Amino acid sequence: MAPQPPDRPFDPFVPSDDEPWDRPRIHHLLRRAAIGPTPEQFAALSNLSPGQAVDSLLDYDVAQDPFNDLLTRMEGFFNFNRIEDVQGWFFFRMLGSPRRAQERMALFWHNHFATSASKVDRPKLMHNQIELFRQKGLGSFRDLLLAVARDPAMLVWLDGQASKKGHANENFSRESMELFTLGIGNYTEQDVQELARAFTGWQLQGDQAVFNPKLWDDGEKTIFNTPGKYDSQSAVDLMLAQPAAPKHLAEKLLKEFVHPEPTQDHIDYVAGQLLANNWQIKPVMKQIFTSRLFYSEWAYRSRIKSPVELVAGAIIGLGGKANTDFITQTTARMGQKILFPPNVKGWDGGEAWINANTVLVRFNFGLVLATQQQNIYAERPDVEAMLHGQGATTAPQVVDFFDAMLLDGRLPDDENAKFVQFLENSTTTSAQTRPAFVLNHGTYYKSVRDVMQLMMATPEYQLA
Amino acid sequence: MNCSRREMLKVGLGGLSVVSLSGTIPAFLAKFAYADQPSTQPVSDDNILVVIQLSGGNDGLNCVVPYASDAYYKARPVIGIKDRLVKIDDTLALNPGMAAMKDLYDAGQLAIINGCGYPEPNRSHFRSMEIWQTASPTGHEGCGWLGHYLDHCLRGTTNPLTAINVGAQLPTALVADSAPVPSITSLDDFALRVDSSNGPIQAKNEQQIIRDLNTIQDASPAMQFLARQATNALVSADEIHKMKSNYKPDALYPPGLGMELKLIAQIIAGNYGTKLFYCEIGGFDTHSNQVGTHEQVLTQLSTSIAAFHKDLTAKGLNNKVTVMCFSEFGRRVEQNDSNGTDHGAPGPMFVSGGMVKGGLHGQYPSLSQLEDGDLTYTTDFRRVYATLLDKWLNADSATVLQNKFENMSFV
Repeated sequence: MAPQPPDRPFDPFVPSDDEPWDRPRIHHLLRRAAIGPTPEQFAALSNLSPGQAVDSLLDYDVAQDPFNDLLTRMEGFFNFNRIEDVQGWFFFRMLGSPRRAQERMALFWHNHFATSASKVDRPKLMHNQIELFRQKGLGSFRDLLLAVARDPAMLVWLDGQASKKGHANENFSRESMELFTLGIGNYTEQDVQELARAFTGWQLQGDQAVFNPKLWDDGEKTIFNTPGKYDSQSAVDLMLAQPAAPKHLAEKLLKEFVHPEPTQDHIDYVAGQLLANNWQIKPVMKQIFTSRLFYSEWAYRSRIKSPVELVAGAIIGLGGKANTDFITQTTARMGQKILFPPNVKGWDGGEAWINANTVLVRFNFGLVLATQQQNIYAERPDVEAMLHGQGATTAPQVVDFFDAMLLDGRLPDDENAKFVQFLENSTTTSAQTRPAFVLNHGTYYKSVRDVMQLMMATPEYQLA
Repeated sequence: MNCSRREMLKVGLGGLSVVSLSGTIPAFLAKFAYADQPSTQPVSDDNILVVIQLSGGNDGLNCVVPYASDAYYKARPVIGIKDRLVKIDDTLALNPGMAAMKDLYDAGQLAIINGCGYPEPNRSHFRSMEIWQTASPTGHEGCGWLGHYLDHCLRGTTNPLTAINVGAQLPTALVADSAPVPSITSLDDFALRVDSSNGPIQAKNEQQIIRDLNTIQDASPAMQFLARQATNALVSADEIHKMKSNYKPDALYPPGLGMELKLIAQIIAGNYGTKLFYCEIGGFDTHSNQVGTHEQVLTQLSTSIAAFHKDLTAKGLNNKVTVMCFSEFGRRVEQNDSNGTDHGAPGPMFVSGGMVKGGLHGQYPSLSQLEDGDLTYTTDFRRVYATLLDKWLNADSATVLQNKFENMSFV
């Protein structure tokens, strides 16, 4: 029977003998909050309580960017007037950052406020928008929404720059209610037209958005049956005052970080927390990531990894320094071309990631990663040395190593046995003359590395 | 998930070599392949429908231009098209980007169905697209209209490639209760690769392990879903790579949509018994400065479709294939102040192919009697679906659409 959500879902998770703070739970947290686990992070978080572990991931200081020095030294490496470089820069951060939760939140907001470079054909503006998501990703949703309403890339994407007094453009107005704050059915066509007037007046000047009071419609508007001389700020406040607003965001957060089908009780609870915390995201995320709900069997491996989580997570886990162009192209073939969401609704995600084609691309990615055939790494990880470092020499030890790294050590016994048999049979085709398997350079290339692909071609590995 | 994409594959595998798979075939597939041979004959003919989705809301007024109408130019002083019109009669002209489709029109192979829509139009891209894809303006169906067709009319068909989506993401239109429809973006990607450096025996071994790892077990819904999709993919990929690889295009396909149609032509030429293809072209959400961008995207659409029919004609296949284009809505009659147009209501549909009765169908909507600044639909889009189902696919449209819609004369 499929697992059910636990009772007292938002009580803090307290490890016990029955529900230990073990590898599956720590990997689960790192997959959801920080793109993917690494052996080092697993070791570090093992020594912390769940609460301390979550703090260690989310309590970063936005003003102190650990990449600042590096990016300064790399000046010229990323040319933000090329969209490929902006994509590469985003992946470079996801792979290399010591605080991947910040990039993970940026990825979430990139999908929530889905803006595509296909229309915003100024890559620098796309870079600046991702930077906005990085800066405000765990801050106040009110600040973020207001900043997005005035974000240059958004002004291009949803035609805000073309929206002027007497000539309001409805594009941003409609999508901001339908997708960013309320959900369909919670506003009228009149609300769309009136809200559009409130957002007028913002124009692009170079890379900056500036407010031109002459272009702002200063007349009275009636939005949600409430008359007022709204501007973008008071309009954002009015939108967030709608009862649908906290629920809409709560549902998105729960679907992204906990389970694809949260219950209405879960949604209502998180919505209440968003209001109680005055729309501050960080305390709500901390509550989610430390909850009994989050560590339940119900939530564990309940989400299908997005292509970015799959590819970046795999490379992070191996300690590789990847060729970012390879990641951009591979995730695109899996259906997620970063900075080019299919439309303003973003990627549907979940089961929509998976079809006959993308399944095969996912499995084939495992092969490329395992055999390192293509030029996919800026610096190749030495998996053979990792195995030796762990003292893995026999077939069962090798299988257990990959199982722990890729599948949380939860490979069923019968499948574990199949992998052991695969390694032992690989030394020769003849059972009579077969030498015992032992890890060495020959067997590594003969079969050991292939175990990586095979384990990545499991349903389990597609799940976060 | 309302529609049970999670449900087991119900469609059998008679088209596959069950013997060669017998040691490996997952239990739920083997059960069907052996025990549940189809009892009803699949549809008798081999007609093929290709659906092209125009995403974003195609501006019908600037696509099929009512150039004799003063009201049109009054509502659109800047973006109303005056020059280079591709005239089709004394009142209507195609957008300047659509010369290639005009050739099809002149050959009697393009039907233009004006004013297609539905009552109480919804202006949300996503809701309106859902309405068109499910053929249900009021309910919230999980399955698509083509999914219903697969479920009701092709149940028992044994071919895993009966319908193919060309694109990264399966549209709701093709979501069925029975087998998941494969999505393909390129034939190169559509194959399982394993390490071949250690010889064919080990490679085969590894493929077998991957099949085993993806057999359906008593596991969580997500695991079952993934295992079923993977099994379907491995089976479909095996099938498609049996295809003759001697396809050569007999037309010059443009990039973008053209490449998708080229892949479709290749699969049609491979003769896999595929009845339905689905593909998409975006870029129609023209809220600002639309004249140039709209013409560009229409040029791409037009030249792609023309190349497709030319290619099929050269191969003697054009009489077997009908193409239908739709968009989730048309756009407002009045231009907006960004020299673009906002979301509106009805728009034209296009149906092309060797067996199509070309010309103008459906009444062009009135520009003087508007509803909230929008045109009023004159043809329920489900009549177009019903016509294609009844007269082209030999299916009972009343069953598929759960309602009876009067047929039209374009087929």
